[in-house]
Amino acid sequence: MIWLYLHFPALQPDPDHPGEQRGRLLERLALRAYRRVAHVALQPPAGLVLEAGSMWRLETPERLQQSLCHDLQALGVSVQASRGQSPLAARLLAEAGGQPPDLTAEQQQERLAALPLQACGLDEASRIALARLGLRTCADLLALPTAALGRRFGTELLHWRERLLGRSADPQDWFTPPAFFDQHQELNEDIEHLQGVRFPLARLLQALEDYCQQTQQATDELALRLHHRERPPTDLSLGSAVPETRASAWEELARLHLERVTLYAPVTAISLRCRCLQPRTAQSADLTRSAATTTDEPHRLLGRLQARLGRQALYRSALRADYRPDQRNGWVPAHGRSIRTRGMTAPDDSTGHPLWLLAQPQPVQRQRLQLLSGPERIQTGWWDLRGIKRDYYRARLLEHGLAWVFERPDGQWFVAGYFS
Amino acid sequence: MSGVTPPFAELHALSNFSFLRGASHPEELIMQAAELGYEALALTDECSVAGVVRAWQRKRQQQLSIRLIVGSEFRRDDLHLIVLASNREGYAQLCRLITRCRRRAPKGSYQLLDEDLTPEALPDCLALWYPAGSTETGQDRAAWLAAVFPDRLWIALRHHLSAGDDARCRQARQLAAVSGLPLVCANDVHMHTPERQMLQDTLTAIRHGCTVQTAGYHLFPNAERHLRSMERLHSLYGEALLTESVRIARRCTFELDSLSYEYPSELVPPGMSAADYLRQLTREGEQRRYPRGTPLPVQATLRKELQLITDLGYEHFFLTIEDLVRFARNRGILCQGRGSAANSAVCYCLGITEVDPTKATLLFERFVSKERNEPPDIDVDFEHERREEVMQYIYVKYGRHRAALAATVITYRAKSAIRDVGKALGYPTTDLDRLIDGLDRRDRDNPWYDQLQQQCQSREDRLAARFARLVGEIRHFPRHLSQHVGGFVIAADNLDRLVPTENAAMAERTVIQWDKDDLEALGLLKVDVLALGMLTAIRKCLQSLQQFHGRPFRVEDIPPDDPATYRMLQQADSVGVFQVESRAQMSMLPRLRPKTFYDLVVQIAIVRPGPIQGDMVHPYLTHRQDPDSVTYPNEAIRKVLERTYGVPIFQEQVIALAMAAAGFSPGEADQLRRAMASWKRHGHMEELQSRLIQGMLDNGHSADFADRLCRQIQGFGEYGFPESHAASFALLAYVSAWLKCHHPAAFCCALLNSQPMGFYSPSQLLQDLRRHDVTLLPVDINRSHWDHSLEPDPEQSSTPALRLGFRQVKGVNRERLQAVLSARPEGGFADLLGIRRLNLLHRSDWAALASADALSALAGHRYQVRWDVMGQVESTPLLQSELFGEEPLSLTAPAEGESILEDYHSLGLTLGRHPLALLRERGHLPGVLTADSLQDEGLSPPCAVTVCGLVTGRQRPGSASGVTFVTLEDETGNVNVVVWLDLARRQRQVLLASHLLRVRGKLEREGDVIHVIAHHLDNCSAWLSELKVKSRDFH
Repeated sequence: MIWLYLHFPALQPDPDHPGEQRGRLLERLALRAYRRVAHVALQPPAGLVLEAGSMWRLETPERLQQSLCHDLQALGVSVQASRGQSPLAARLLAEAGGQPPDLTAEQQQERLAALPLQACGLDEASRIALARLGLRTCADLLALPTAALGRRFGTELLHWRERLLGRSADPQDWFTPPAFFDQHQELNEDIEHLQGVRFPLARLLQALEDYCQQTQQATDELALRLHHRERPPTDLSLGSAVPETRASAWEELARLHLERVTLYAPVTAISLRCRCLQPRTAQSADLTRSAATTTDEPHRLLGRLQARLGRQALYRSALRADYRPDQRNGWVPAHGRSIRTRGMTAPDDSTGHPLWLLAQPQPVQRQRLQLLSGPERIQTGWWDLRGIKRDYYRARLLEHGLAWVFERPDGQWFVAGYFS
Repeated sequence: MSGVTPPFAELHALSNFSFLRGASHPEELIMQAAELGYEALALTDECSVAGVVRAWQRKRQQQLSIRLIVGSEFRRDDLHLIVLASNREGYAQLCRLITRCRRRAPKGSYQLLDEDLTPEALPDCLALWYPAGSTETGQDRAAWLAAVFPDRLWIALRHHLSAGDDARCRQARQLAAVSGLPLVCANDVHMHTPERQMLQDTLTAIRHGCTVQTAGYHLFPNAERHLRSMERLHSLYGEALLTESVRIARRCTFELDSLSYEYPSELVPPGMSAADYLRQLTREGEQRRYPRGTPLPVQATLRKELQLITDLGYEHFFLTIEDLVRFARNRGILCQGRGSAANSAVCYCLGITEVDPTKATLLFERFVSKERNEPPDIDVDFEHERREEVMQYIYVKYGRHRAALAATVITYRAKSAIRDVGKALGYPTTDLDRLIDGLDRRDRDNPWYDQLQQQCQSREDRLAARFARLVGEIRHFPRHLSQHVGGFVIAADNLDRLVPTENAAMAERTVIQWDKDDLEALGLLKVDVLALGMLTAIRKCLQSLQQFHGRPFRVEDIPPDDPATYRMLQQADSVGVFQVESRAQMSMLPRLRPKTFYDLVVQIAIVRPGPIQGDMVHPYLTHRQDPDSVTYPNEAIRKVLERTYGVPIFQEQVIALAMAAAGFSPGEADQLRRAMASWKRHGHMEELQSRLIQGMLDNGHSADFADRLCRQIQGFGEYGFPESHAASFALLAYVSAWLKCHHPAAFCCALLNSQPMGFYSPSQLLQDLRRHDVTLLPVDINRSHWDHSLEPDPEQSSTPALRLGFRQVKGVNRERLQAVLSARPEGGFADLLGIRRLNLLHRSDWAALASADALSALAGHRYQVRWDVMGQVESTPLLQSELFGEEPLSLTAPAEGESILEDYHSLGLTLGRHPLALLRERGHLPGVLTADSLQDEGLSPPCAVTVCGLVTGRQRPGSASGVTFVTLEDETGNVNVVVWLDLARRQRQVLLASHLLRVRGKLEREGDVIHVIAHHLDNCSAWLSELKVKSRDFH
């Protein structure tokens, strides 16, 4: 086995910006390498291990290292590479600045031996313990007799040494590219009406359903692209409320979606791409179920509404724990998570409040009111810009019956709602 | 106040001592209630009376006619009760109840059980009850409570204009009718004005650990829980309920001033009076102190003091302290009184203090005076390692029901205020941390709060302005009670008749609910049992001298006025000497050049931020040169200021001046002193200051003089030193200086064995000792003890050598090692096997000893020994590594630099060469001067220099305009570097993070004192690689 390690200095975590996500970058680089070598393993945050022995007949390791580096550098990514007798050795040598592709075995040994222990990926405690015995370089560590080393430092360090020397296995977690669906359909004739898209689309959706069946996956988002001649393509995003595999369901959603689209140029080809495949959860089939299942309905309705109106148009009601009547009844986006607030249990005083509140309180003349009970003073909400100080009363309003009114500090009166 | 509304008394009010519920200080509540014309206010914090003294003090100060009633609120899921004390007995019963509830619960909480409420427990208390739940349960409850408080129970109504209040009030009235209980109104007051609503909401959010935005119904729906106007209350409740509140209030006649201190009386032998016993002990003390006869002035003072003590009835107090001190001395624990007690000749004779009345001018009135009507304040310092023994003695002698520690109120400060308020408003923690870091809390010209306001104003969102305001309001709010360092309250009988006690954080400790200011305000006795590291060190030094020289050595044997000692101090050779070893003190010693005891007293008092800011040092020195040139406006002032050459330095002088120059009465002068001492409690310094100036002008002094004096007094603000206190400290300073001068090895040994204490690290103390030509011997398995010790030095007979002890080795276990040492044969162990056979040490102990090079006498160099001991198998000591067929491996010995690094790692110091010597040798420091060469005659400051050294000290004294003092240590000594604020800002990281610092700057000399003003800093820590020398960062 011939090991090659690629180290990308730019992907090292930045101490000033901890937590920045660079995982996707590494994956893209892995994908790149995957085109050339069958065995690639990610070593986050900043490295890749490649096993080049199996490619020997196609490309020598020297050539491989050279061309890979060339490739990646063309992408604008700086890389330090090295061969090694083991994945660990290759890594250390690569991280130490990279080695020339024609590195001989003796040179390898030499350079490894010269590495200071700080650059060997040891845990800090072991490194300090070794330093306190005067052992500071890799050579020092390699020279120690096995039994003596194991007695004093335990099997971990021994195992590390064996891994370094290639004497013990170092199984890697080989990379597999993510699954995705991407199909393209050229059209024999240009389509000038959206109706015409349905047939080729149906075929693609069928292929998707087959693929999902095979791989036991489902998706809740599809990207449909309508290609035009000499014009940028039209991109549509189809979303389903729940992960879906059935072509029929997608057709339905696509139809609703397409109703809102205006074609501005003839379509020459369509492609369907799906990135977010998820494992499919089995749905238990009800033996007595009829064609249209009842449990499906709400979801399907939601999906269809969303498709027709757009995601942003759907809201659901939510009760907030707030003394301010206007703030208590709120609307949140249908997709949003509900935020649990503390103090949710309302004091059981709200019996005095009407169910019907006006969207905007209506000014009213004091003379027209006959106050029946109150005041209930609600004075709170100073933290957002909607603080209130109001004295609420039940009142009889001359033409309208029982109303809930309030007085502001400036003496103005308003109707807040009505009692049914 | 109108005559139309009936009088009213608020019987349910919470202050901020109901932590995180009340949003006003007790003082604010009482003031506002008085303003509104209430007849009385009951302060009823939750299971606590912690705030009552403050309210009472404000009432007294402002001479308010409103009455203060003491009570407490108790809440449980099924019970909400207010208990009020009607008289002294009722107050004791309330305290007992609070104590019982608190003591059975963990710190900070309480538990009320049904069995606490019995008719026998609270016969002199009144109770207000808020019923809850259905009418049936209400009736049962009412019956039960009525039995507990016959004719003393009311159903309380409260109305806050909330939705359910009408219904609740109706229910309560129904219940009252059915059960026959009377009704009253109370208002569950949480703040003094509605403006505090934002703060109250914030406190609620903090309490629930959420933000105000998500607190939901935990908040109150409006701001009605404030002290409302009488008109409002009248229209809300009607006349009958208001009148009832007053009727209840008038049944409560308890006044806090009626609390008198009852001294423990068992100390007096039967058949004698306390006064006689005190006189007897004093006479015995006189004979001890003045074996050749008591000087006449002292006799006169004693007579005067004893008379005053009897007049004021303080005999028991003195006897209590005398007993404590006698206990300590019998146990061989060094102790010394400090503070104003040192003003007393009686205390000197009783052995409580060590300041001889013939050696310093004592102002007895500072200690005790007829006008003040409060007990004296005696603080006693004990050896810090043995203070616990003294505290246990108190608990054992008086019992836990009679002795407890005073509380300290932990309040909101800048960091906690910003964090808690910020979180409650929803700001992310990272933003808040950044905000805190960006504030300079030391900046005197621009206090941190102003900085905060400026920053918030510049931001766009409205919430920021509110945030700033809330932080300002929550500042100084109490957060919780903690135990005071050493202030004990000892009562004649049960302490909880006087004040409730609760559990402290430490096991077996209880704390009263009042702090020392509260105790002082009420005139209650407190004994401060404090800890002082230097006392431990002195005792240990004397003990080791005794051992080493084979003859007794006591403090009394130290000759006073030793010229060699004073010479040493004049040269600023004072590392390790009590009170005069800091950088600031050292730079002052060559200027002040103390040569008598009194000079030392002045030295200690004058080198403090107060006098330095108050512009006292320079005039003092100038006047001292030429005392005849000093003029005094009149004879009275001359008497006060003569001994300090016309410059006021001591607190007592300020008091005396206020009386002499501004015509203050002793009482007023004392108020001034008090305001100076307790600045943190919203003192009225400004008011007193203007009275002072006016008084001086009235007495014919010039405006210039008045102004100058005022400025000097302002400098006293927080740091003014009592002369007696300085004198007590000067005694210890002299003793420690004498020991350092004549027995440097023993003294340093004792300091090292008493760590942590003092200004310097063990490394610095040893460096200093070495510079005094004392031989230092390393840790040796066959020679060392656990403590550092003295050994005869074969090279010289003038001083013993200092042998480092095992206590300095990091990572070695004390018990196990001492077991090995007790098994150590006379001539030492012959080899490692001898120690291994004992099977006492763990692998970690072995490794620690190996790294400290303690085993080198028996085995090889430390790398080798470490390797060898790491290979040992724990449970089979007899088997050597050869038996396992292990080839002995020979490791290279550490190079000099590596040895030094290992020394620092394992001992925190090195006896080898200083790292700087090595660096210099290796050529890392071209052009860098050594510390001692800065004193060279050849250099003529001011001139440009470069210095380099280990950072052993970083200090930013608050007064000195943001300047940082850095101490660098090299192989020849220390360099003082001055870093001004703008450089500190520019190179902040380098300044804070460097272990090894190179400084380019300007050398300046003032007399014998030199320092380097830094222009540029370089962090050279990389040269040290793994070297870690901790600098003591003082702020």
